[in-house]
Amino acid sequence: MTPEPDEDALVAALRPVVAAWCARLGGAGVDGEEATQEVMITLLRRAGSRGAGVRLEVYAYGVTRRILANHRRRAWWRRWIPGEVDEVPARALDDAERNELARQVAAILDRLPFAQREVLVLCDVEERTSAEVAALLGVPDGTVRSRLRLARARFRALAPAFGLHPHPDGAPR
Amino acid sequence: MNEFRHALDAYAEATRAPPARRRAPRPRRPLLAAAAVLALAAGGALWWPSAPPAPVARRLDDRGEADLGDAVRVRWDGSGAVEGDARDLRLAWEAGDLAVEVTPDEGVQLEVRTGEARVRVVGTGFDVRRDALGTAVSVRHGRVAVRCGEEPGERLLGADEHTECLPVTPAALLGRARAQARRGDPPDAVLATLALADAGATGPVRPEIALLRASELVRADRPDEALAVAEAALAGDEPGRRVDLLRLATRLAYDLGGCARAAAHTRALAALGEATPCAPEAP
Repeated sequence: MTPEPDEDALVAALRPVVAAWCARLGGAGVDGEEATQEVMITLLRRAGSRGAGVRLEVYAYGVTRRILANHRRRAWWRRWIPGEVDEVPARALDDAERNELARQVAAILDRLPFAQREVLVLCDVEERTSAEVAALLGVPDGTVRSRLRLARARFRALAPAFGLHPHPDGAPR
Repeated sequence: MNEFRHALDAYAEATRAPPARRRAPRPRRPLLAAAAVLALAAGGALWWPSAPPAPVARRLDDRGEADLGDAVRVRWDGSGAVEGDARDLRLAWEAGDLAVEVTPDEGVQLEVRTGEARVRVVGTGFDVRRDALGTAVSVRHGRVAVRCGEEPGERLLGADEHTECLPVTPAALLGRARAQARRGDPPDAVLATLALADAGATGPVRPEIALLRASELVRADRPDEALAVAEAALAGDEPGRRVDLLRLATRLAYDLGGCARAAAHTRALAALGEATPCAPEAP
C-alpha cells in the first residue's frame, strides 16, 4: 500500500505521545528516549503498511508496546549492578516535593505487572476512558476495567512502603 | 484514585515529552539586523507616543517570537513570562532558550531573571539559556550586567562574552549534579556539586542527594564510602528513595562482606517483596 502523502507528518506528530508512553511504560533501566527513537524509526519505515481502518494511534501503541518489551528484557540483567540506579521520571521538576512524588509513583509502577501498569498509566495518568484504552489494547472494555481495579488495589497497597500517602483532602483537584 | 491525584499529576508532568530543544537561534545577518535597528529607531523618532507606554503581560511558552513594544524583540524556545510596559520590561525565564534584541538609545530598560541570575540590559542583543546546569548568558552585541544568585556585584559582559550562573537551591543543585552525571562529567565534579546541594538541604531532597552521591562514589571506585552514605541516608527520617537506597546498600554490603554484612538490608528488602542472593524468596 502506498503511504498517504501526509502519513509521515501524521507519524511525526505522534512523537510526544510515543515519548510519554516510553517514559511511563518502559520501567526501570529502560532509556525512554532511546526507545522513542526506535519506535519513531519503525513507524516511519512502515508508514503505509498498517491495515486499512486501523487507527494510527492504535497502530503506534502496538509498535511501542513491542519495542518496550524488548528494551525491558535487555534492561533486566542490569538491575543489580552497583551504581545503576534508575532515574525515572525523565525530567527533573523544579519542585523537589513534586519530584519526590513523581519518583514514588514511578517506583510503585515498577512493582506492578505490566498489564496492570499499562491500564493504570493510560487510564489514571493519561486520563483516557476505559473504552479508549480498550481500543488501544485491542481488548474488551470489561477487561480494561478489571485490570484497572486490580492495578489500583495493588497501587494503594504498595504506596505506604514507598512513602506515598493519600492527599489529605482525598480529591485535591 | 483521586486520593493520589496529586502524585499522579506530578508523575504525568515529569514524564511528559519536553518541547524539542534547539540551540539559541543565531542572530539575523548583520546587515539585516542593522537595517531592522535603523528602521526601529527611525520609526520611534517619527511617532514617539506621548501617552503612557502600553502595559505588557504575557506568557512565553513552547516556541515563538514577538515584539514587546517598539524596541524589544524576543525569540524563545522554552517557557517564561514577561510583564511591565514597553519602556520597562521584566522577563522571568523558567527554562529553555531565549534570544533578546533591545534597540539601543530608545530608553528601554529590560531585565531577565532566572532562578539563579539577573541580567540587566540597555540596548543590546543577548541569549539566555536556562536548564538543569544553571543559567548561561551570551552576549552577541552591546553590553549586559549579570548578577548571579546573592553575589554582591555584577559582571559586565561585552560582545562575544558569556558567563554561567550556578543554581542556588539544594533541589536545583541536585538537578545540576544529575545533568553533569548524564553528560559524563568526572565523579569528583558531580560530587562537588552534591556537596553544595547537601549543605543547605532539608526534607525530601536529602535522600535524592544521598542516592546520587552514593552512585557517584561507586563510579569513583570508592564503594566503602558509598555504602556509608547509603546507610546514613537509610538511618535518617526521610522516607524517600528508600527502596533504591536499600538495593544499593545491599549490593555494596554483599560485595564488601558477603551475606553476613548485607543481612540487615536483605531482611528489609525481603519485607518489601524483593529477593536477594542472600535472602529466601519473600512469601
